This record gives sequence, C-alpha cells and structure tokens, in this order.
Amino acid sequence: MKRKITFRRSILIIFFCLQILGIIIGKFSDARFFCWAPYDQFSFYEINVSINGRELNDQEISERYRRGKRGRNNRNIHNVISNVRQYEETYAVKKNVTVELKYVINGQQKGSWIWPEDKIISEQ
Amino acid sequence: MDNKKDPGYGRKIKLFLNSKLSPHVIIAHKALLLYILITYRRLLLSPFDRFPFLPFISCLDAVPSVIFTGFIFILFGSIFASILKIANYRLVSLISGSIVIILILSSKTLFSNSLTFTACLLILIGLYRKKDYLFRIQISLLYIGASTNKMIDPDWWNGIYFDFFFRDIFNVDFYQSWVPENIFAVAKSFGIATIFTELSLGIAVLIPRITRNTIIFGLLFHASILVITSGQLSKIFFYIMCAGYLPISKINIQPLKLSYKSNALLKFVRYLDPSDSIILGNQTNDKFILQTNNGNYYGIKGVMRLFFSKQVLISAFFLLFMIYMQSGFFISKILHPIFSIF
Repeated sequence: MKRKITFRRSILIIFFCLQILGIIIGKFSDARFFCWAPYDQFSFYEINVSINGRELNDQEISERYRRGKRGRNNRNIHNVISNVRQYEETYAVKKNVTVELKYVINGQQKGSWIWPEDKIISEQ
Repeated sequence: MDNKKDPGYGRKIKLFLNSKLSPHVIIAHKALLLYILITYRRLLLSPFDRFPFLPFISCLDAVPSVIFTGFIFILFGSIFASILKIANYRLVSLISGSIVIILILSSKTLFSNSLTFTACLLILIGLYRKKDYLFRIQISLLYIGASTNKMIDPDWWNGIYFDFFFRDIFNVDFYQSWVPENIFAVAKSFGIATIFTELSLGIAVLIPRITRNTIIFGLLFHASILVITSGQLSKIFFYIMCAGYLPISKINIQPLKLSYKSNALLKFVRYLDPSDSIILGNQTNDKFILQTNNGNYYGIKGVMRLFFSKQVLISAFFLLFMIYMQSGFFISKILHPIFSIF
C-alpha cells in the first residue's frame, strides 16, 4: 500500500516538475511551447516556398506544413518558424528548397525568416 | 436514505469496477472528454497517417503511424466507454490524458495550450484520490506561467498588444470609438491588469479558504474576455476552466433517489445523468417520488426539484456551452439534417 502511494506521488512530482521546467525554459527560448503562454502574441504570416526554382501554390504549402500559406498565429511566431524549420531539416533535406516566412507581430514588428540560411531579418 | 442499488445494477458490464469519484469530479471528467470528442473529432474521422508529424521528440519520427492510429482508437473508445458508463472513470482519465500528451508530443501541429491543459487535468483526475491540491497546483501553474510569460513581453506593458487586440484582431467597437489612435493608456492598463489578475489567481487558487472567491474572480475574468470580444476569444478556456475549477469547488452534489411506476423511464433518466448520482428507488403505483437527504418530493414538485438539482444544472451548463462553442457544427451537421427530413 505504501509503495503504491509513493509511486503515485513520485509521478505527480515529476509531472509538476516538468511543467515548472517548461515555464523556466520558456523564458529563455524563442518558441514557447510548453510554458503556458496562450494568446501572448498575435501575428499574421505568409509563407513562400520554392523547390528547384518553382513556387509552391497555397494547397501545396498547406499539404507540406499542414498550415495555410497565410494565416494568423495566436501564439509566439517562433511556433510557426519552428514547425517550418523542422520540416525542412527532417523531411526535405535533399531538395533545393528556399523558404521565406514574412510576419507582422502585434501589428508593429515586421520581419521575415529565411531558409536555408535559418536567419531572421527584422524590418523597422 | 437507502442507497441500495436497484436489481440488475451489479450485472451491468463494467470494464473496470468502482471508480469512487465524487459526482462533481465525474462531471468535470466527462466535460473534458466531451471537449476532446467534439473539438478534435477530426482525429477520429481521419485517423490514418496523421502522426508522427513534426514531433517534439525527434525519436518519435521512427514510430510507425499504425501505433498512433491505435492510440487514437483507444482514446475515442475510452471516451465512448466513459460516456456510456461502462468504464472506470479514473482509468479512462489516465489513459485519455496520457494519449493526448503522446499525440501532442508526436506532432507540433496538434499543440495548443487548451488541449495540453485538458490532458493535464485528465491525468490528474486519474491520479486523484481525496485531496484536491493536485488541481490547485495545476491551475496555479497555468496562471503563473501565463502571467510570467506576459511579464517578459514589452508589448503587454506598453499597450501595443491590447491596442492591436482591440482594433485589428477583434474589432471591439467601444474601444475603437472611445479611444483615439496612438493613445495606448487604456490598452496599457488592460495589459497590466491581465498580468496581475493572472498572477493573483495563480497564488489565490493555492489558498483553500478563499476558493469560492477565487473561482468567481477567475470565471469573471474569463467571461469578461468573452464579452469584450463578443464571444470570439476565450470560449474554450472558459469551458475548460469551468471543468478545472469544478474539482476544487467543494460543490456537494447529493444523491437523488427516484421512484415512479415506469422503471424504464427512470432508468433512462439515470442513464442520462453524467454525475452518476441518480439512484433508482422502488417501483410505485402512484406518482413520481424524489428522495433527497433533505426530504421527499412528490409529483410535479419532485420533477422540478430534479430539474433544478445541482447535477442537472451543472451538466446542462457544460452541454449547452459546448453546443454554443460548436454552434456551426451542430447547426450544419445535426439540426439541418434533422429538419431537412421534414
């Protein structure tokens, strides 16, 4: 009986510690995924992709990243960048792909993220 | 009051017997499962080859899709088993919450704070015994996390976030007509108020003796966002927070014992009761009788007492709010086909 309680408690401690860790890591990372940050930023974005010089259309982009070419993101824009970057790193490594993700954060900060350079260019 | 169960009750098929959860926790459990069932029905409608896709943990990319398809079927199977009352609620909570976390970890595109929070609450219902501190810590982490994330973002302090929120995202009329452009004072105060409201909720929820005020304050906070944005934002969080506050609310749902000449009707009523707190009494030759710890109610008074009982009102609230959240789905997929028959 005692062992059962201890096991349950240890699971709970790990469960809550992971969340605290997520909150702390979220303060130092761009893409704040598991840190309880709902609606902390609004951004509009547009993704442009070309493979071997051919521009992908809206549907192809939607199938590629499972998100639309244009859209509104209700969390940090780095959530979207993280998805696109991971796709290009893991599923599309051998192709000649260029990506430009343009965004506007909270209606003020404009910028773009480009691949394969994996660089953010801020516009003021 | 005689809590003896009706004949045949013990013969009901139960996958795992005896969940021993309080009625208000059972309602919270079913409300959360209903949220997953209705809002994420697309997972069941196309369960193949969805996962893994851009996982948070890279090794999950090596796991075959069929494993995740199996998880989706187990998830929805356990939700249906819980709604049909043939499963142990604690076990279903633990399984469904864990599967949702696994699915989120296997695809960044599925990630949302509301779904993650729902999964956490379900896991905690699975691990819940008697003390409600589990839910208090969980709600506290959510609010403190949300508050501290806003604290480090200058747009929340200088009014840029809320000005954009009111003007361009939700077109809030009163703000657009009363506040001149490039004046950020009002938006600034909204930003600062939100940060400190969330921080104070995160601390207050840990103090048991002020629970009632904390819940009222928390629900008013979420409801105000809902009202300001004309129902465009915070619907989901309002629903989930209602379910999250329920286990700490200390609402005492009394068992109700029903007696009537038609046992089939009473069995149907009991089957519809999500809190599992309605008990069948003996068959009567006369009018409807409702027995509570406070006394007996006969006929129409008994029916009214049943309709205005805590279990019925709370369950109806979750069901109606879910219909409101998914009004487009209910109108196009349920009401329209029904009325088109006529």
